[in-house]
Amino acid sequence: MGEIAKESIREVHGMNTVRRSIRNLFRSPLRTTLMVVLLAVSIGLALAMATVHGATQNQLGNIGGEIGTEITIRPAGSFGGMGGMGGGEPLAQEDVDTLIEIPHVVSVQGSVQTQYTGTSLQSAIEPGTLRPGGGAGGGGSTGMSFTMAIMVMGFDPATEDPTLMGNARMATVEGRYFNIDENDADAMVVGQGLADKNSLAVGSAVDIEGTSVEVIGIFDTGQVFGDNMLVMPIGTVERLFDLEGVTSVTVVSDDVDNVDGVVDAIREVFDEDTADVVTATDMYERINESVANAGSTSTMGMIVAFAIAAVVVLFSVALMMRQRVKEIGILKAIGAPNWHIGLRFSLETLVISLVAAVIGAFITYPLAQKVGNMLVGGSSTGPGGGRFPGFGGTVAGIDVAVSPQVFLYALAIAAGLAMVASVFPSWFIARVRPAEVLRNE
Amino acid sequence: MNRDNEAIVTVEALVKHFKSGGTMVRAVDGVSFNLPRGRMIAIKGASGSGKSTLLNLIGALDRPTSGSIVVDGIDVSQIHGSKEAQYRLNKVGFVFQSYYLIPSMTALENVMLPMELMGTKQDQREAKARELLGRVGIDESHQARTPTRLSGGEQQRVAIARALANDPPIILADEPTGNLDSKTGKRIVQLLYGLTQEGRTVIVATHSTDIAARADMILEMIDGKLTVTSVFECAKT
Repeated sequence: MGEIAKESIREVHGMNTVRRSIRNLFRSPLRTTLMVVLLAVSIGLALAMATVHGATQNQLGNIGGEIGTEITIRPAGSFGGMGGMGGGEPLAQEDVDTLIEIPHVVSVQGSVQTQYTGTSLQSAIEPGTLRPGGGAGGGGSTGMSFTMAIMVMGFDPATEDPTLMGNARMATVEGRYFNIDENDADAMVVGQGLADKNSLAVGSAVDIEGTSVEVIGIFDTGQVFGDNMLVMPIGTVERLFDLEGVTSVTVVSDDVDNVDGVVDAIREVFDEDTADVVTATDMYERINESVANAGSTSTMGMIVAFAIAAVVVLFSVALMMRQRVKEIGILKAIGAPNWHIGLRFSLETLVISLVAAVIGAFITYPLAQKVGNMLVGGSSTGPGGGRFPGFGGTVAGIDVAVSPQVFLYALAIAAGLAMVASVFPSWFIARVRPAEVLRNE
Repeated sequence: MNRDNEAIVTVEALVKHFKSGGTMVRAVDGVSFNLPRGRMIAIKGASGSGKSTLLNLIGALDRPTSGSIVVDGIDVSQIHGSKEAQYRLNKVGFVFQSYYLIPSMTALENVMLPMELMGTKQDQREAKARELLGRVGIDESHQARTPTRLSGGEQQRVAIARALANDPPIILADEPTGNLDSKTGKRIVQLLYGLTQEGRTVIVATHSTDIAARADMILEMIDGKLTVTSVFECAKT
């Protein structure tokens, strides 16, 4: 038979075989549905894991870029505690003022942190909203009901764009920030959550430690804890809460390469008994380790999901072959070549895989963010607590964006699975002796 | 030489052993014979005598342990893979006791399938399938039915039409009336016998004396061995 004639036969085979393969899928709707669902979930999970993995790596890169030159100084013993609330004595302001003179230091931002324990304001974080081990403040809590304290932060009004605890950044949504001459003014800006909870607006007055303090602005950080804070000029905080010195200093170096030299110079001002000095690199490494763990988990999850998908396909194909071994015997008996029979089964598997892939890709959209939150965010949302002290919010706020390319990946996975799965029918069909199969039926 | 007098099947020292429940069974044990073209040949024997195995070996549904089978010039014991499939497609048509139609296909599609495998065009194969089904007495309304909606006799007639689809010179029928009532069985035998009038060779494995009575030649088997070969003269010789 000539090559052209052979091609024509294959074309005729192909069209009818595709039509018949699709029709065959409806012979066992329950089996087909079950297979599609299992496969779709597996593919969706695998894609979600892959997406999360990519997102964590991107986020890590962003964090690295942002914090590369920052050095944080806190009273000795503060790191690892309640976000800087624990530890030793506040740092002397006059010592902090000398830091700006260190070569390669670009800026020094001192702040005072304390907790508001009065009754004029209610925390925006409700009791019971934090899960056990969810990382609020001290990841690993036993889940008992409590109210998250309202954090008070004091900054020098001259500081531009101050960074709140938890690496949160303020975006003024109403009113204004402090003027440079308001270092001791009875004024405050409050987080959106705190304002909403206490029905505060610009112009509202609140009794803080016996002094009426006016709300001059409302800010948003995009984080639950950041939005539960109130910010005052540093002088006001020291006066109202009877504090002296600062509890956190952020020093920014002009270049990543100069960070170590600046740290050495800081150590000459604050010895190890007085202060903890943590560079962004240190923090980055701590975050990196944690994110790497999350990345490994997502990679492992992806492999497991792929393995499950492969097992589902192989098991289903094996079941299909076993159930239809008589049909294979009949087809061989009437002269169907092995490739023709194999093609029928492979096409059925491919159709199922493609349908599952499309569904799986759609599942990826809601699933990826949930998986991302579960792997990364769930244990790092606390201010300074959890797995990423000081950077919990940054990592917790990870945006797991699912690109439309996920459909292409899903289709590629489906095609790959179908190809892998088609090896089994080819092997099985080649070994079927029609006489044996039909004799046993 | 008159082609009708040629042997279409030549079997030499054919042996087929297989294991069954740990025991080696000699299903076909050193059988040799020639079968003439255009005749109806009955292979008789009790259950387990090896007649179905012999039929399967002639049809290349199974491989012999040793010996040779030459069918219409093709050494069946030496072909493998795609040549084996081509042989089944072109040279033989099978009719089984349990019909073995594809359950997901209609009667018409079942008959069209061998032609599709052969590469026949859609319109040609549909026309031929309808013609064959008409010949075996399956009317148009039944042609669109799947096997489960056909009676046993109708299914067997569809199976015969399928066996004829690619005009094979040999029809192999394994207990074709085994699942049918006697009246329907007689119709099927008549149908098969009629195929010899077209020059086809029909080889029937059976233990039915009714079928054997219509045969031009009878091979009797006991425990895998050929015991008696009876040839009946008829007008065709």
